[in-house]
Amino acid sequence: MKRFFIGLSLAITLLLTSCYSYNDINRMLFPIALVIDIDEEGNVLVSQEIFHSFRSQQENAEQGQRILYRRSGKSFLDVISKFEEMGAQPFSYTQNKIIIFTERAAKEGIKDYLDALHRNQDFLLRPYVAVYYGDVVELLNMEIKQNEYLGLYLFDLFDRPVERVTMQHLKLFEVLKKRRMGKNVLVITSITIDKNPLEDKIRKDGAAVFHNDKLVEKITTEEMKPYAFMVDRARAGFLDVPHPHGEDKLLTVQILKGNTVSDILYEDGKVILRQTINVRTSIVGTEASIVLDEETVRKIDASVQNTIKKNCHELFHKYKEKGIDIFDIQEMFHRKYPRLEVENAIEVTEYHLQIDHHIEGTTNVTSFR
Amino acid sequence: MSKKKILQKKYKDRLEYIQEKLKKNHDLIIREVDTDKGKIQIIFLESLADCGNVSLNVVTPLIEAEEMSEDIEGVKGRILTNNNIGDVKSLEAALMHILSGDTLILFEFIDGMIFSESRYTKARAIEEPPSEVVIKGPREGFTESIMDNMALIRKKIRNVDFKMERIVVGEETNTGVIMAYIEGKAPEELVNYIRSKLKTAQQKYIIETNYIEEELKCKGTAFDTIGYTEKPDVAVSKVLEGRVVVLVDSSPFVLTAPHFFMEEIHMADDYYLNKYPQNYFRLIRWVAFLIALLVPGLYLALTTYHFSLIPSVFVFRLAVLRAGVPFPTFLEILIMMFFFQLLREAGVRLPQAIGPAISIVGALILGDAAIRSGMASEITVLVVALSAISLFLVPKLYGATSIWTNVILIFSGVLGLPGFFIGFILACSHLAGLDSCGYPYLYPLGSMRDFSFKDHIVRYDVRKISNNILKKEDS
Repeated sequence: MKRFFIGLSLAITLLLTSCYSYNDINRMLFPIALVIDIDEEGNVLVSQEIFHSFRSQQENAEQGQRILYRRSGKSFLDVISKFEEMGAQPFSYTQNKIIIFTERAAKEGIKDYLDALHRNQDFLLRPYVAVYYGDVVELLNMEIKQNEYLGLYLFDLFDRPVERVTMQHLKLFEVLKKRRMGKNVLVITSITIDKNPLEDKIRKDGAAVFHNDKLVEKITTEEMKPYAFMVDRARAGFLDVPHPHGEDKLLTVQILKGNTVSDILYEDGKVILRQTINVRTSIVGTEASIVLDEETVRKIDASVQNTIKKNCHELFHKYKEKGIDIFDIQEMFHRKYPRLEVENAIEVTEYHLQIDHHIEGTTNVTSFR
Repeated sequence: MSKKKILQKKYKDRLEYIQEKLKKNHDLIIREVDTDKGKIQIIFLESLADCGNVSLNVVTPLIEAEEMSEDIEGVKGRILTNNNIGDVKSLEAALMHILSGDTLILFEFIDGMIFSESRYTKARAIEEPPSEVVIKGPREGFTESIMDNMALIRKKIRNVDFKMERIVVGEETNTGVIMAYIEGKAPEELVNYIRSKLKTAQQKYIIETNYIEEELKCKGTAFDTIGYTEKPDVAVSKVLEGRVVVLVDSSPFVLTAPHFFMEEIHMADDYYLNKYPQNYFRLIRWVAFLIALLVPGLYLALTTYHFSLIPSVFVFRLAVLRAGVPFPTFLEILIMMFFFQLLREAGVRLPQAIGPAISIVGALILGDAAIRSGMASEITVLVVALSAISLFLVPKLYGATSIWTNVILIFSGVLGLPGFFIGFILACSHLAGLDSCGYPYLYPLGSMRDFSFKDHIVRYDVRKISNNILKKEDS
């Protein structure tokens, strides 16, 4: 009986295993970056950056090779299946690090791609998602000295912690989750090629705003700071404020600690978004000499508060006018008042912002020998 | 018929019977002594008996006796000078005494037979056991002489409750087996179980302890559910913990029962050295056991089914390293494990002087050549070597772990990680299903609260773990 049950459990396991796919690691093609574009006729263009290992007969050595594939088709999965025509070995999307939508594809809408990427079990949910502003061929053929592979370079660029006031870079599973929340607004990191006299570089370039899965707006690099404060992502970074002793000069403070507490209130058909930004900073740079007496510190404090407040209000009103809820107000409202219905919360929202700013001294040591 | 004639006939019949049974034995000595009362035959095997002892304590007193006694008690009490003499009840017993090295004495004028102990076997000196070398602790080891082995244990336990029962096992060899335990400390049911197993053993001959071990151990498993040791201090510690040890004549290994899985990881000097470093080393042995058992299967499952669980940079490195290997990873690992087994077997079978050297050279050359020829990748060689080296840290689990490593490997090759887990769970279930003389082999796991066996993953103070481990705490 014992043997029967062991045999039965093994048979069931064998028969019900859906991932029965033994593959040797050296006989696979590993796409690292996936670029999704469309042409003028509306055909889907997919480019892949692939890692492939092979044994070179000329050098008599094993090595990895970067291969670029590009196919077009009527749909995303049609193109993916077409890659099988040219790949001598099976594709494994397990190492895919980034999915890049071109500006054109993003404007046309990414719903179908997300659906295919979500449903097809060959794709993982953990690659980063980005929007690229520029030419795809230029992006893929660009020589990146820090890494041989574009996908790995962008993964490092997105994954490492930064000392900047910026937003959270979304991975595919976060994109899928966020588009189902609130008013289906996504804020996805955008990248571009930075034309530089010394060397062209790929860089992050603000964020692309999607509404109903279509690219509608772009958050610039300057707008990223207030946005990060408003969505509680301002943990570290620098802020430039006017110098207290000269208006044409700047003073730089470093954010040591920061968090944003948000609350929603519904009154008389109006939504009131109340935010308290708690931020601790330290003065790290100044373009002109400064005497840190109480008055000056108070001025700097006021200046920091005003800068943050002004930028946040400007950003809020810009998107309020457009009716695009990049601040997840609809979701917050829905969570607090699940039985109330408001068509588009941001359009009836009043923004109340309070800044709790504290400048910390950099040292307590006052006597040196 | 007169009484004298009856005795003479019995004497003649017995002598003829023994001569017939022991004919064609070059080492059989039958020495006849004439006394005033009649003839006496002194029979012994020259190869087993101490001839000097026979001459001094048997032959000489009988020849020099001024007046020969006519009753057996008189011979034993007034003439023979040996300290261990006794009556022999039957001819079969008489033969057994002769074959054991004792001297048999037949009288023409007395109705009875006497044996005089004269056993003498040249035993190996007491040396450090090669299979259980310790950094600190007693260096003595058991020998092939059961008397020496008994003495080595006895001298460490000066306790009137310490018992050594002798049971003869083996129809053809009639091997003496000693069952040693402390009465009142070893559970009675355990003692009875082992005693009955030994008495009903179906073995025709006993050459080594394994013949007894197979009678006691759990069937159908590669794990040793009966322990063995070459070190008297280890055997003594087991006895003091309430266990039974079994000594077999002509074997330097002593069996200990019950024996638990945990003990395979423990080493003798865990208890003789500072507990903190020893606990660290003990944890390393646990890790080594898990590496030996699981790493080949895990490596296979990850590199053939679940690339997504490996960091990308490592995936690419693995792919490059394997680029020139024509075989599937599964076959590659099996080949390398087979190579390793060849090397190990060669190292074990060759003479000690050259065995290790051949193994090292073989490993270096084979590993390097396998990579250069494209038969295996560096990473596979590393994984197999790591597994093999880890296995050497737990030598008593070598056989069982080798088999279960392959089982898990096969499951992993067929089903990936689900197969790996199936294999691992099967191994755990198998272990959990074993018992040692009625005690769960995985003891004290699952019963730590009930029993006083506190020496498991890490060792506590010796004072705290020196308990009767088979006794329930509340009893």
